[in-house]
Amino acid sequence: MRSYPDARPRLADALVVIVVLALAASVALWQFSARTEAGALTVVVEIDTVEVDRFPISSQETHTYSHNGVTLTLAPYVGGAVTTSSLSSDLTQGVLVAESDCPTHDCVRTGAITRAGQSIVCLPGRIVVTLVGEQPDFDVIAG
Amino acid sequence: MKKCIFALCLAVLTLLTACGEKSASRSVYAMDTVMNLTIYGGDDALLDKCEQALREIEQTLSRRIETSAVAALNRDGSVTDSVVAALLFEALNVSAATSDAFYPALAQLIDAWGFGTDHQRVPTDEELSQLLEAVKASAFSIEGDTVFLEGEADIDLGGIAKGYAGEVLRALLRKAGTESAVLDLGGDVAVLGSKTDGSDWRIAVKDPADGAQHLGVLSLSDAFVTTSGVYERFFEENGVRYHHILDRDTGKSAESGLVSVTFVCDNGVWADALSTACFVMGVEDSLALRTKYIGRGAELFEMIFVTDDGRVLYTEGLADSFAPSEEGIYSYEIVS
Repeated sequence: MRSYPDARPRLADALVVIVVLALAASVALWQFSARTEAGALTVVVEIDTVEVDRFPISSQETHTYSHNGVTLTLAPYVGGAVTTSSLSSDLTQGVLVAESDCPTHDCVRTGAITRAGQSIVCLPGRIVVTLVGEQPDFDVIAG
Repeated sequence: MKKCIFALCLAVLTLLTACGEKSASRSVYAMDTVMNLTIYGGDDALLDKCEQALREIEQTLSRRIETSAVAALNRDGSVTDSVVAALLFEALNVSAATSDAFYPALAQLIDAWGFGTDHQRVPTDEELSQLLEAVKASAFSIEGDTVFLEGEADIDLGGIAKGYAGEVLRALLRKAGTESAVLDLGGDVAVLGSKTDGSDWRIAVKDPADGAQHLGVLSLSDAFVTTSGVYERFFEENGVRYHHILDRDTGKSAESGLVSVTFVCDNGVWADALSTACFVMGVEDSLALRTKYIGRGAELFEMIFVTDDGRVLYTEGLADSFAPSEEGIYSYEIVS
């Protein structure tokens, strides 16, 4: 008569299940915490592809940068206007270029950026302002 | 016990794989724009090659670089350069297909308007008339790798150079074994393959009226997405907006009832040129062109039009791959 291996669970099997479950839980927790940390938007400023500044989107201050003979000023944006008043969390927060002495003013005309992944580019000054943080629902922006 | 260890290793490997393939990214200032390259499974050495390729393309095709092949063509009336010859050949094909709505010899007209410079202005009708005469009296021909330019008009390949750059980078990456990359060439987007999890790339299309909004999101793999619109380079004088997409017939900003055209194609050069051409031609002629090329077997020849009366028209081939934004102010229609 043919014999079959013992199919009853052993202690080692249980250990494997526990270790795999623990690993899965750790990865899930790690990814969840990464997302939570990234939930708030951050303004990142690069000059000539090198990061020179980084501040939370809730910043009330204006920020001025100069490069390649161009000076531009970033200002906070809330609900359709430049503001220095206190921010409300249920309003859309963003950042825009309020002033620039570049020849074309493309950066000013870009208007406010309010979502992760969006950017303002000043080509003459080689200054790029990008919003990073919460995972956007797209990989890249065309246009 | 060995089986247990094997199962454990398998589980760990599975979990690590689920974390995704490592990517390498770089920003590059080239071709009068800033480009963002992201390559999955790539490294800095591969990004170096991409950057070098972009620099070489710029050094060859920019008419503003005195040592470029295009500058030599404009100055000397002829040049021998395989890239310029091949690209101009494609440019002429698009010109022929679009009744010159895309035309690669408008350099003097572009300079007269000064878009994107500190001397933007509205040229006089007389000035435009003279420039248009020069454009229409000029001709170019290609013999092997040599291009001949007759007449006073100058070549400007800015309308297809980024599309060409996208093609070159995709070929370079494929050759290096890369299967997944997203290349943002200053708003013109080239995607290689699909994402590392096998899903399509999600490409948001910028709202021409508000840079903070999107018209919707395209889900695509292996494609080029390029946009021509009135919002890119323009200036206003006496309450009138003048944009940089010029009509070869008038020498002035094209007026076709459109605010922007986004072109989706599997060929970068054609996508780049056709977004401009379709903007000049308007919806009706663009759709006729699409019908013609679909009939000839083109697999991906799709468009998204934004009209000046607040409509977004997208071609039927995008019905499953374009998700309109729910936030916008537009009405959306599928057209064919």
